[in-house]
Amino acid sequence: MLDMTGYSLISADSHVIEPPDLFSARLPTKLRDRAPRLATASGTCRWSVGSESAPLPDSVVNGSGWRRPPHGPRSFEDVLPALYDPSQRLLAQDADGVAAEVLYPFPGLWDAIRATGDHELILGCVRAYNDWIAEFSAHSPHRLVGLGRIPMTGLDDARDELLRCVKDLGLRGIILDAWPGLGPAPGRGDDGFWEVVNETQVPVSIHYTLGGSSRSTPVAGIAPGLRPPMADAALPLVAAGIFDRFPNVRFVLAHGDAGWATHWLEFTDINYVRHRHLAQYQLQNADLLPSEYLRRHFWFTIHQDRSAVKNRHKLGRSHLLWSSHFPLDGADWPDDRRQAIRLTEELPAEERGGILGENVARLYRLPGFEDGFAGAAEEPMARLVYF
Amino acid sequence: MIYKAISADGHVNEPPNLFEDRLPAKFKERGPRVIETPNTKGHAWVMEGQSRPSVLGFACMYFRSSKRGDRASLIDSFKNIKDRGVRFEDMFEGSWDPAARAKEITDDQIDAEVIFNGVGTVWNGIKLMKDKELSLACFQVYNDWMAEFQAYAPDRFICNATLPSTGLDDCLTEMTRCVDMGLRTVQLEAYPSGSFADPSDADDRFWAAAVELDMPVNVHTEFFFPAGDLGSKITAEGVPDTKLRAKALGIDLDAGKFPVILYKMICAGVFERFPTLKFIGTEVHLGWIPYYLEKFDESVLRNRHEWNLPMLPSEYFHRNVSVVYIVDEAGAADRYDIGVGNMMWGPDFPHSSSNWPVDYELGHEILERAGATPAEIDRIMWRNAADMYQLPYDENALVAATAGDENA
Repeated sequence: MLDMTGYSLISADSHVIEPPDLFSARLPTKLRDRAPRLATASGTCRWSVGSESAPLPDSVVNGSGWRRPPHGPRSFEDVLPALYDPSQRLLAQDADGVAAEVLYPFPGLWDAIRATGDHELILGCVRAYNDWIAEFSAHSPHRLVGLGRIPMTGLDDARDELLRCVKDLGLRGIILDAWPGLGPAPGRGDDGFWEVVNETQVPVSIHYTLGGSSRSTPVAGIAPGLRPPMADAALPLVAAGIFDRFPNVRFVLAHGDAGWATHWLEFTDINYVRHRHLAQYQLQNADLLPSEYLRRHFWFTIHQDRSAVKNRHKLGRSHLLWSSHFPLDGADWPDDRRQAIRLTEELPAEERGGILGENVARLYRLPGFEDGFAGAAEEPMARLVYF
Repeated sequence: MIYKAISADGHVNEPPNLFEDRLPAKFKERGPRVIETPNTKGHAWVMEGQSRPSVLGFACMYFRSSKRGDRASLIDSFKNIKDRGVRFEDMFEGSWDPAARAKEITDDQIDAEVIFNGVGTVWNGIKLMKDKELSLACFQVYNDWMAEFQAYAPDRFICNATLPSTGLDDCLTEMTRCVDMGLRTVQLEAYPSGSFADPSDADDRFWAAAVELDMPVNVHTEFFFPAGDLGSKITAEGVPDTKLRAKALGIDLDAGKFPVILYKMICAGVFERFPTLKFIGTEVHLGWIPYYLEKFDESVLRNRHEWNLPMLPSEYFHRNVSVVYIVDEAGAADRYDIGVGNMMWGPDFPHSSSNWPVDYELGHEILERAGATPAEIDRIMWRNAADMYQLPYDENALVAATAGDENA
């Protein structure tokens, strides 16, 4: 059972905002003149790198997408200190009734860095960020769960940085922005990377999109409530046999909810059952349906997602992870706890405890949950398709 | 009289000589015609403006091997599904012969059927023809034929007019002509103005006319199916080739998918200005709808100052929109979030997604498995469609039948 005094509520998807001196202080000297810079222009505080730029979201001023401030930060002084200062972050968690958070960076900045196409700079920035987030997390390792970034500069860099994140920096998870070898689809060429993931059992996050950017139009169009683009990365992983060769590889689909996934899983199975002879893709384990691979190896962060909570038995009760999104989008700091309680108020205590904290504690093997899901009761997968 | 089942989604496959026989003399050589595909030994449509043939595949399949009540033979029959290499003589004759069709749906326990065009067959090509006069003539040929098809058994066939994408005036004129011919619903292949991407203020003339004529307006799945110049083999990654080809033609395929169309229609205030407009998404399935509406409402509530309409998106949906599905376990289970009155069953016969002749059995079984009451099953399996398309039934008989169920 969840230790209610220790971890009553954990956010599986929260964000930091990189401090202005992160890159200027940490990049190798020869890269510093190309470093991303934070500056205010025409009243807007934004990161600039090369010809790219990324304004800070308005909600970094008060942490709420519901009570948005009249304007965004005019300078970095307007940004909530909890977004870059670890001791302030703990106070913000206390105010929100949140025991711990899994921490992602500010996506807009990394889209901009990536768009420069400057591999030397990208690698330098990733390493600087990983050093910084490791120090940030070390301030309170059981409450600040920073994730490492994997550079988008090729397989060797990806594998080296993965090893550095896990072995040297002690980070508990990683974020992937592209296939490790930069190919258009996951293939055998990336096995060297998955080997390390498999061995270290570190969860791999995809944050909303893989291969695109948060500025590109989602593949399903502009309407809210559709499948997020990162879902399109999932089936190719199954089809490439990654989970057959590396059974400990686990993914987190972050920032995209799961209410859409019930339909997606059902129709992925229907298409497979009806069309498998057309060899669109093959599964190595003939006894499994694609949704069974997906439900075994993927976790979902959910925010205001009643549809996912309602259909939790189809998605997997232990695979849903509550998240606050603090300080982006629909986050409502310091009232995220109230939203989390409301979202799960009809659930039995054990299932509620799982979604609000225990699942994520097991997934990242937080203190007290070092054994992960070993020993947790495995639930049978609900059947999604009948013919 | 009451019904057992009304399919809200069935298809014809246009017969090979339809356009050559009926187009005006000056267009005969330029309209759609059928060729043999040398490698796959199947048939395909070609026409002016298309550089690749639209092969007969998913849009026209059949499983004659499955027998009612024999599920093993049904699953076995999936092996017959082809994405190419299908010939006209392989198809059900009811694809173009109404007498044969009436027998075929009877075999599947279906009393009446809403009938759409062949989607992936000729329609991408007709819509993308450079010569708008030729394009319009093809739509008219098709609609004339549908009126004849329906006339064979108007109590059993509710045939769709396919409206031209050649411009708002053509669209309006053709709707009126089709209503005069007795067709009872219209299918949009684009927004009424002809745009494949966005609704426009000018479309209001069309929505007003649809309300005036009491015509339900259908969108069947999406504006473009993967066929002809937009076709490609489907892989685990989806259909990236199709997207690239469409982009080269200036078409955003995602904008033509029903959930996006619905989003744009709601945001444009169409249902606010036309509160009695009946808008139907056919073969769009159900399971995505609860989350879609939940997030759509949430995004409006979170950005309230940017939302100028008096109602929430889900409220417009529940009032104005119906959705048609083939099989959908998640949607049946979540029917109260979608709205029992907003759902219609339609097995897509004779396309490859159909389970003929056990469509009715499966449809019924899914609803029962989800715990639907007999009255809910009646609504979804036929009564919503009967109300939508104004097919007569005896409400007293309905009450008696339901009461009978409860006593059983």
